[in-house]
Amino acid sequence: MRIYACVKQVPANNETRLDPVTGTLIREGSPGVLNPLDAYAVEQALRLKEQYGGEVSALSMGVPGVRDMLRRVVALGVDRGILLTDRAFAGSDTLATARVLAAAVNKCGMPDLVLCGRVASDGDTAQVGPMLAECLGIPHVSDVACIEEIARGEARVRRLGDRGYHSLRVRLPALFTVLKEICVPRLPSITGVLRGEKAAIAVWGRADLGSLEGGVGLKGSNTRVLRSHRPDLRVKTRAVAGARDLMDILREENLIAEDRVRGDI
Amino acid sequence: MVQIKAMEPQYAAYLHDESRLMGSARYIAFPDSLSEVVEAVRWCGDRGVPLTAQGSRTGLSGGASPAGGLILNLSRMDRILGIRKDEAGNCYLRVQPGLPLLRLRNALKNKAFDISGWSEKDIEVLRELKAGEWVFPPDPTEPTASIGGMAACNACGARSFLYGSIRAHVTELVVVLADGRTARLRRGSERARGRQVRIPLREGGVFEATLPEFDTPTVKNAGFYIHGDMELIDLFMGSQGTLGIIGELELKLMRAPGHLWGVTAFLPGDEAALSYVEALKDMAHKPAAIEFFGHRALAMVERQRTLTPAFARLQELPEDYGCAVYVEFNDEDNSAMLHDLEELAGLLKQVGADPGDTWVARDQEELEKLLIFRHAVPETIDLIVEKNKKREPIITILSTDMSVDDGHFRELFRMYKEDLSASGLDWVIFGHIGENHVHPNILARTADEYRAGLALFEKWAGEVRRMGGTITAEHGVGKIKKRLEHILYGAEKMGELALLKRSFDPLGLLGPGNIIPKEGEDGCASTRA
Repeated sequence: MRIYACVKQVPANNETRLDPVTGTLIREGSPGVLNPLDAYAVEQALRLKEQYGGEVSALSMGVPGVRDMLRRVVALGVDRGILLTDRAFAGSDTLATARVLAAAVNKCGMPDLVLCGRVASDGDTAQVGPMLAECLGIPHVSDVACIEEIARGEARVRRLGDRGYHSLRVRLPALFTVLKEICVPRLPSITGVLRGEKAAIAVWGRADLGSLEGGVGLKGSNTRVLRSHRPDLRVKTRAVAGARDLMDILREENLIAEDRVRGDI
Repeated sequence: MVQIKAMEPQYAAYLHDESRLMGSARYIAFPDSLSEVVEAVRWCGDRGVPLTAQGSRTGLSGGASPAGGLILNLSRMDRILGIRKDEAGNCYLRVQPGLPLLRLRNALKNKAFDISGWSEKDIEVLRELKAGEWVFPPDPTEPTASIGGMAACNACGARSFLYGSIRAHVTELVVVLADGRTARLRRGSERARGRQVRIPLREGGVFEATLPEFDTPTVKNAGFYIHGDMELIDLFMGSQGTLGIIGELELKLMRAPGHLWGVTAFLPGDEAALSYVEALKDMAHKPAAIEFFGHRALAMVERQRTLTPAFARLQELPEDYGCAVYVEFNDEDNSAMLHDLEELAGLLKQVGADPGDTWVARDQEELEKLLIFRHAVPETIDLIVEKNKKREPIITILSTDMSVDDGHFRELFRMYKEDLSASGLDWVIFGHIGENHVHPNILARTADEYRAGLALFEKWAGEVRRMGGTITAEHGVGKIKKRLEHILYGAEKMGELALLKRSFDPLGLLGPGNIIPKEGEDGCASTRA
């Protein structure tokens, strides 16, 4: 089974820290690290490789320094790291990023599975994974909590929706964005770290990826960030008088199956 | 004005520390300044009411479990009062005793200080300070421990292998004596002359006392610290509130190491682990910490994984694990790591372990995962003891922290294992193997098992005495280990310590029942708790 894990380098610390004397933003101590949720995509890829055999590649678009982060990913047991770096990629929005990643995937040959973390801690869009699937023309499932089985060219997965879990069967190749609950990321072994340090990381620029339809970088980006703000997360609540009322609401909202409600409450 | 409140059920949590030794009290006070501590101590002195100082109540020896009288809870004295730099560029913080270690760490890491009330001079020093530039090295496993409590029992933690116990990092104490007078003791200033103690008091005059004729053990020791010509500041660290109350501290900070990393290695068995640890100690690049996790400790955490949601986030153990050894390095930069990893791989192969069965934490963030795992062991013990105590109230934490020198450690370790294996008790071993003090913990399920555990501890105390070691390397004697201390020192030396205590506290009001047995007490409170 061939799996690609897409990974991104993000600032280590996304807390806002203000100097108590000057009141200015503190920027020290924020080196680049693997996006925390991407660690779950890498771990899940490694577990699938251990279960079904095959190989795992880690793919990242970023500055040349991301090569070190890819070595750290290889140390975990990933077979190869591929860095997509070029001045022409700078300023790419989510769609332009997805185009670059898609071109790299196509260059290597379509895998059985592409895994991404649910969201990056810096951009916070959760868009690149689904966009990449669209660019590749393969199905995707977002917010995957569990990959239950892979057999006969299909995967059975459980995803978290707004109202609970859904079980889905998906034909491969497919792309999944994964949640934290899918697994616990491992730390590398000594053997792994030493192997990662010696690993050759493939570095591809724009010229290596052929034609990138729709463009990349700032020029190829159709979106501009005008303003960042917190989404309004107000949820309507209402009080219920007792268990009976609660059951009525659950029935109205189709949140329970009738045949599972037995007897009087 | 300090408020002295009558004890009420809402204060029940203040009747014990992490040891689960239940105490009793009639009053409780939460002073928020040094002057309020003085008031409370005088209030007690005037009425002959004994008092027990408390910080975060995370101690494991019952030192903060009150024995009647007043609970002097210092948790509201949790401020960082100021900062200074000396001519050599060293940095110092002045803090109140109730400040939790975690708050101190976060303040330094994020440059997050409440500077209200600070002098202009201190604010100027802070202006130049960079976030994450300095650290306070002592690292007891429980990060909510208060700085005052840590000093009172001379706590240390895993990294004391490199940095020593808290004693080495405290440069000044303000102590409140039994009669309410106060003294400022600076490291390097006030010393004993031979065995003679003269403490200049801030209110004028001098307090005089004579030290016992013997010296306390030279291995890391958390009880009384007694040596000829000693620094007097050290008299109040390890003495657990029996000679005076720590009202303020000055801490010497250390420049933050640029690169913290570590490796947990899984080994086939304990003998391989002991050989690996000996090799680690001989490394040219000195580790900051060397920690041991016995098979039963690992299995205990593994079992708890299904019961405690937070533990489900711990990495799964490799198959066929025997035991594990964690080693940590604190370096200026990351240049040494790869070379050291190759050396560690060689050491592991030499003892029959597989370098592939390791968890490497390459930076602070990954290190946190290993530390969470490390912390899961005592946390699980707490949960089990709490559960067992509900069935049998006599049960407390039964954890030892005896220590010997390098030459005797294998003998001590084998004795622990032989005795525990033969005992039929539930037990685990983990802890600071780098400094030769692992923590055998007995998880008593019944009163009989509890007493059998204590009897084992007493047997070991006798053996440790023969080996020239100590019965408490870091937790303090408190109320639970008095009997062991009696075995270590014998009646004559205990009498000398009691005389020292009496000269500081003639009415016996400070930290009653801590370290020195009360009149008529045989020295082991826990057997009758």
